[in-house]
Amino acid sequence: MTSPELPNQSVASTLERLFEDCHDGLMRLAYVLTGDGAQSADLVQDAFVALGTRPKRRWPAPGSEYAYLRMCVINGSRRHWRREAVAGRARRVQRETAFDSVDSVGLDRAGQRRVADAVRGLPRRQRECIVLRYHDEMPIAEIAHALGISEGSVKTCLHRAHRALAEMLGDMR
Amino acid sequence: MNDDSDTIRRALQAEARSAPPSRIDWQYVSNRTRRALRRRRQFVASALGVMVIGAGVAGLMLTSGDEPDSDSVAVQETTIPPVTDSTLTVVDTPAARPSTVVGITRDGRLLAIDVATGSVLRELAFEGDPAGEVDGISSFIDHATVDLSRSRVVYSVCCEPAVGQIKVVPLDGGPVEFIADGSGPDMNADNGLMATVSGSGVQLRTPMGTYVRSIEAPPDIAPSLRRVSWTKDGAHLIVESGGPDGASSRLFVVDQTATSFADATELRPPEGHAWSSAAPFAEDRLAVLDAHDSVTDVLIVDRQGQPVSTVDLGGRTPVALSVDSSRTWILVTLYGGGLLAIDDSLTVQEIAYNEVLVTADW
Repeated sequence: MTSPELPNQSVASTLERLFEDCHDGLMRLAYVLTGDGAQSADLVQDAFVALGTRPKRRWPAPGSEYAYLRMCVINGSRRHWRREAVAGRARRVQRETAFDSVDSVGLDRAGQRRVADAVRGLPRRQRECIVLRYHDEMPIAEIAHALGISEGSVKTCLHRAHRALAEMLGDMR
Repeated sequence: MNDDSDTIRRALQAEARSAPPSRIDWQYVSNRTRRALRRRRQFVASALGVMVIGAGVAGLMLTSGDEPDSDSVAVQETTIPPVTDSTLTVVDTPAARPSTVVGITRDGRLLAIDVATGSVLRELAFEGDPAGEVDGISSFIDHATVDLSRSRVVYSVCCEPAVGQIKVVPLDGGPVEFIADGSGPDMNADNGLMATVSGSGVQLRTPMGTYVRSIEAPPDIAPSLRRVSWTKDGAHLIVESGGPDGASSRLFVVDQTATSFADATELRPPEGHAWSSAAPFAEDRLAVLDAHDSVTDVLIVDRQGQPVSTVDLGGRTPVALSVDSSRTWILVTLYGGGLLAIDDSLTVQEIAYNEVLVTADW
């Protein structure tokens, strides 16, 4: 049976190159957002499939493919959280998690996990703003563009997220 | 947390570095992409009516090397003789004709339509248009079915993610709810199980989408699966796979208790014919679109693939079939617009709606 090809050979090779260059970074982003390795792999795969099946005329402009893939992962993570909510298994900050104090070098593993879980416990938009700001090191303007919201909204989300995290992690100061 | 920005940054970056090793590879992504493209092309082909006017195409595909390689498929085959006239035995008391149809428009809207008046009662959902013209959205609704309670519409969205998403919306309108990954859903007669197509075969789920078990398909079939339907007794599933042209479908009868397609029966049409859009109805019958000699008929076959009768549509061309949850009423979506109802005595009835739909269900 004839197999349909990817849109064309150049698209296929571009997609493969993007996969090689980006899939590790996207996996890390997905993992920070979801905390679930298997889900992260699914999200990243789905992102590449979404790009590969996109009509050629609607492919992102050259150089902006990563931004598109990143948005696919973020959108996919929203589905992940909806499913978690449906299943009644929404992840919550593990306030009771034991952790060692933060030393001058950095966080220990338990502290790092506690902060990451707290970030995952934020409302969706705050979570996305925080992850894009501090994991992907994106400027406010780029976050606003990526999420389709105003720069003011990004700043508001970041402010609220900082305040919520401070409340949740106050004893880590 | 005065230094909370640094703390968050270091924590998230350390968390990212602790992500488990990636389980994905390029070949897997590439194969999934091809499958998603195949599904998209099937839908677009259907939307354009290629399947209908493509009896010649079907014949062409069957004679141009696209015929499935039977050696590669671990299923039994049933070759049938040409169509003969016979009488369909009606074994059921006819159920009342459903009063509402759900239809998918060519621009991707899921509509509830009043059967008596043909008026659109409401738009139930929109997930994007099949041509990808809506900015930022390139998914679309590719299948919908009304469950036995007639209170819910279960539909699937193609193709992001590639395996599809199954969602539920009240028939009376209301919020859409995601319930599972998959596509081509169908509810069984007692509304206790939902069958869906997954990337590796058929999955059985509860009506709310909770996974129950799988029926694995051979690797050469699994990527092409696009639709599954329950027989009235709930004992078997009719599973349809198809090629990118939308015409070269293959139909398999699978025991619902099976774990694989190993004992499945493939229903093989006569040479020069292509069957698609299978709709199980009555006790042991299957309505299919039978494309042959530049025409497309509605053909009734038994569960072994033996032709029972053809239905005279008065020269109109069908593009899709479905059946109501009582498995009594066949709904025919017509090329160029319009719907017909066929009861289990094969009487054809007009439905007032005349607009173009890709497919419909009730």
